[in-house]
This record gives sequence, C-alpha cells and structure tokens, in this order.
Amino acid sequence: MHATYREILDCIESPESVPRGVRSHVETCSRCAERLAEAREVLGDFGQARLPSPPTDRIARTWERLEALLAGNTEEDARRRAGESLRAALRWSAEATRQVAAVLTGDSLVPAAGLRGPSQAAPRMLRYETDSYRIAVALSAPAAKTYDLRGQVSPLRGASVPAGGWVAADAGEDASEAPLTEFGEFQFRRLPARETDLLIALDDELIQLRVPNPSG
Amino acid sequence: MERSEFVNALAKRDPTAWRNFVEEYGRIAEAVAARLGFQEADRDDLFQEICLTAMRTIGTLQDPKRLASWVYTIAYRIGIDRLRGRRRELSLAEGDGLLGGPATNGVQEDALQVLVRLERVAALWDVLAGLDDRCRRLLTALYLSEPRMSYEATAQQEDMPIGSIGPTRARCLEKAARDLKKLSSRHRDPSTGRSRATGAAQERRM
Repeated sequence: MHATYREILDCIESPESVPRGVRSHVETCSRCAERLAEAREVLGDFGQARLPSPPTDRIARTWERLEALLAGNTEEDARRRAGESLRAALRWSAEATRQVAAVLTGDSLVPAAGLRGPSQAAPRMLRYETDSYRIAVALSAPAAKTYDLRGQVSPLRGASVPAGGWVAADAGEDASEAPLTEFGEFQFRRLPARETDLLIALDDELIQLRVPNPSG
Repeated sequence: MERSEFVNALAKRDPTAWRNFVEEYGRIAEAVAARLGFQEADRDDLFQEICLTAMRTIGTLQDPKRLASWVYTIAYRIGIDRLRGRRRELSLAEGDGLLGGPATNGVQEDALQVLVRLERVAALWDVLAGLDDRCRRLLTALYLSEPRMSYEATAQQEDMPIGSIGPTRARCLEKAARDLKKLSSRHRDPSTGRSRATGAAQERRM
C-alpha cells in the first residue's frame, strides 16, 4: 500500500516520526518517490512564497500616480483619448461613402482680388468649400505656441447640417475631437500652433481640409 | 473576494481593488526588481512602471487565474528591458546574457536561479487563489502570513480542532502540488518547453 500524502510530508519534515515500514516503502516505490519529490518541491515553493511588502513610501508614491491614471487626469490620458478619437475617425473615414477634400477659397492674410487687401488682424479667417458645404474657420493669434480654432460648416443647399456630426483635429502627435452643434459650429482650444488637418464627419460624408500654421 | 471578481474590479478601474493590487501583487514587482539587482533609487521608478503597465493592460489578461504569473511576466519584461537599456548605455561587452555583466562572475547565474524560483512562487500564488476557501485560508495562514502562524493560532483563527490542521494541510498541499504541476506543464514556453527564466539560464550555460 502506498504512503499517504501526510506520511510523505512527514518523511520530509519529521522523518523520525514515520514508521520504518512506511519509510522503506517510500524509498523503494517509484510512485511514492515521485510524490515525495513533488512534495519536497511544493514545500520549498511555499517556503519562498512569503514575499516582503514594498516600502510604504513606495506604495504611496505609486498610488498617487495610479490615482491620477484612474481619474484620467494625466497628459498621457488626454493623448490616449485623442488618439482613440482620431483612430475612430479614421475607421469611420474608411467606411464613409463619400470623402471630399475641401478647397481653400479665402484667407484673410491673402489679398482677395477686387474685394480687399490683406489683413493682419486676429482672428485670421479662412474659407473652404466643397460641392455641398462651405466651411469658415477662424484662428486666434497664437500664444504660448497654441491657438484656438473656431469654425462653422454651412450647407450650400438645404437649411442645416446633418445631426450628430463631429470634427477631429490632427496636428501630428496631438489629436482631438469636437462635436458639431446643430448650427454646424465647432471649436478647439489650445491646439498646438502648427499645420493641422481637420476631418469633418457629416452623416455619410467626410470632409478633409488643411489649416495652415497660424504662426505663418 | 474570488480572483475572478478581483480581476473584474481591476478591469473596471475600481480604486479599492487597485490599492489592494499595489499592496499585494506589488510584492511580486518588488521581488523581481530586487532579484534583478536594481538599487533602491531605480527600484522606485521600476515599481511604478510595473504597476502603471498593469493598470493600462489589465484588459489583456486572458485568464484571471493567472494574475500573479501575469504580474511576474510584466515585471520580468520591464526589468530585463531596463537592464538591456542600461547595458547599451554602458557599452558593455557582447555575449553577455540577459542580465548583463560577464557570465563568469556567477552573480547573474544566481539571479536567474532566484528568478526561476520567483516564477514558481507567482504560479503558486495563482494556484492558491484557485483552491477552495478552506485550503486557501489554511495555507495562507501557515505559509504566507506575516509572521508565520503556529498550528495553535491557525486552529483558533480558522475555528478548527488543532488535530485536524495536519491532515487538512496535507490534503491542501497535495491539491496545490497537483495544480501547480498542471499549471507549469500548461504554461511552459511552447517552443522550448522551458519557463522564461529557466530558458535564459540554460541558454547562458550553452
């Protein structure tokens, strides 16, 4: 008869308490010897299983960072959220039935023939057009390498823009998203002052346009 | 709390669960950092990175039963990456193993052996979490509590006759040994049949 697991444990921990018959069986039986080796190993593992706690100040410092991450307050979170929006926009664009590039038709920095001369006044006004929409964009004067962008999408035909639209601003590493109001308005605050692509999602149409660097 | 409930809470970004995670599973991160030879100043940063990585990637954990092993894997990878980065910075000689430094000084070999042991400890934590409540509580009291509890104290805490501690412990250890064997055979590196740290140790010897 094979040794019980308790007898096998006793063979390791207190061999003197194990009857001689059991000990000699364990020594000669391959199955019991294998279980003995396994028991020795698991006891060794349990002997090492108590790991010391990290120092309390290390836990406190780590917890501060984790709390910020949980609250979604880190810069990394903001970038991640923006990145996710942009990825969603790009997924949407792949599915959109119609993608159009809006053409720049007016820039307040550039003189318009027969209309007026160039204007340095803020905000800088830009106008874009597609077959179906006109998009007006106003850029504030850059400050601390950022600027604000406001815009409005107006349909050339029909009374209003489709509901549920949104705009994504992609300025290289930074990306953000803003909803379109029922009047077709949108705005971004503190965009990095560099060339920015806008993706305007309207129902089944995606309009792409490029806003120049507001610093010139 | 059952392990799967705990992992669910982590995935839902429950602050209490994450606080417990840092205190309990942070022990694995701390142990890996110490075994890899990081000094106190670097250990703080490494510990934070491991915990932050766990928080960002908890959604990728496929099997909640493997939480401790998963934490070990994160800690091991981040630690090894840092050592590699440090090695590049110091322009150390080629041919060194994962842990850097000449293979003959024996230090890395020891560190790898300790890592193998630590990998098994993480697996043991996973096995322990999967045992029935009675076994889990008993083995935790006997082997993981700080300080380790006597049979008398354990019997009192678990409301068990002291005479049944021995047989129950044997039954629970047998189950743990069986589960650990299953777990280690299932989760070995499929290409080498070895654990990560064992593999690294053996490659060094070749």
